[in-house]
Amino acid sequence: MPTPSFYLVVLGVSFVAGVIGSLLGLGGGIIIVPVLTLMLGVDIHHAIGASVISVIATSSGAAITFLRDKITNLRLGMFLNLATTIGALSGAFLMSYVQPHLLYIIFGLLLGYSGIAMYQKRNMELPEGVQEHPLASRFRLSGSYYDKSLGRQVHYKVAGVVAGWFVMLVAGILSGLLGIGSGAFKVLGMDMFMKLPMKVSTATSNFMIGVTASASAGVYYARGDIDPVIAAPVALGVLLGAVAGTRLLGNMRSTTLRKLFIPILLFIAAQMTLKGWSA
Amino acid sequence: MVGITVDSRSDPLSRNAEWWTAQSLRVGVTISGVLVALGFLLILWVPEISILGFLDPRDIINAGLLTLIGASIFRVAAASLAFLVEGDRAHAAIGAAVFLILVLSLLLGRVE
Repeated sequence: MPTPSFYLVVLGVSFVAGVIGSLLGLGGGIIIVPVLTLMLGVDIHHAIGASVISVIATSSGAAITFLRDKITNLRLGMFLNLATTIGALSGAFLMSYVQPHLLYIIFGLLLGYSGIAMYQKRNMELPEGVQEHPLASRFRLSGSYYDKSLGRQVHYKVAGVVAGWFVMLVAGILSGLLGIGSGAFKVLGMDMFMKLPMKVSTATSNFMIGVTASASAGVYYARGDIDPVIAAPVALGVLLGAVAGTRLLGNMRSTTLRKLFIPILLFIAAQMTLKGWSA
Repeated sequence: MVGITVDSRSDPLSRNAEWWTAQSLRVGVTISGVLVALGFLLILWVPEISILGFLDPRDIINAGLLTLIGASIFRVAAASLAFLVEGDRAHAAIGAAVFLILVLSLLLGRVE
């Protein structure tokens, strides 16, 4: 039976993971898994199970507000979720034919390169000169939201629909193959290829990661990897953190969000590359 | 320059789908949060308690976590239904396809 201080640490760390996850469209696994395993000595399987719960809690807690405020683009999220779910299913079947360590290295380097590319446009508040893709027009994917930090309604167009869909397919395949949430790839795909405002990219990624993680959570449950004693404080902390994060995002500039995202992206890139290298 | 499109706040189709999806999540997350918090508090203070003779705090937490997972999957179905009701067949079909793939993934037991 864990001690009260164990629960306090888990609640605190999960709160932070929820804030960061809801702001940046990530699952929070990069924070929760190392803390649970390295600091608190939790079994890796239970830590990953708790991490899956944290992805769902972040996504669900944040989506309520982001959907209401139209920061999440629901049509686009559904459209791209088709790619990620097909990819995730395909990736799971490809698992026995692919060398995972090579993928870790390739995609780790790719993420690192994307982080550098993103750094070059760190001061860009909103995408400029975007030409709407014909498919975006056909499927009514473009949209608008009220930006509290700018004090005005922001209308945006969606570009690069085919490229973005392909990136989501690859992100889904990676999820299936490597067991990662791939929220960073989703945000990058929407930011770099589809030219969406950063807030829309992170909020829509947030919506999407929860959908895919829900399917895998059933599997983790069946395996007994989700220990309720550990998952409970994680779920509660993350839910509270996600709600706090949604309040922060509304008042935050996209440039600030991008500057927060870049170091975390580079950290994930380094982590993936090292994992592939050491394997 | 930011492109000008139709304001989605004035688009009742979009508002309804988003509203229904958010509401389905809100209900699920609230029920889940209450159950997980209740189970967690019981584990902290009275871990050996048994409710109705067979429910222990871990079962209550499990019920809460399963509600959270279910609500997360159901948001896709809710959005798809909302699109269908509003006559947006393309997005209703996309949502239905995503939902079916999710269910298939659960059945096959091998996603992510």
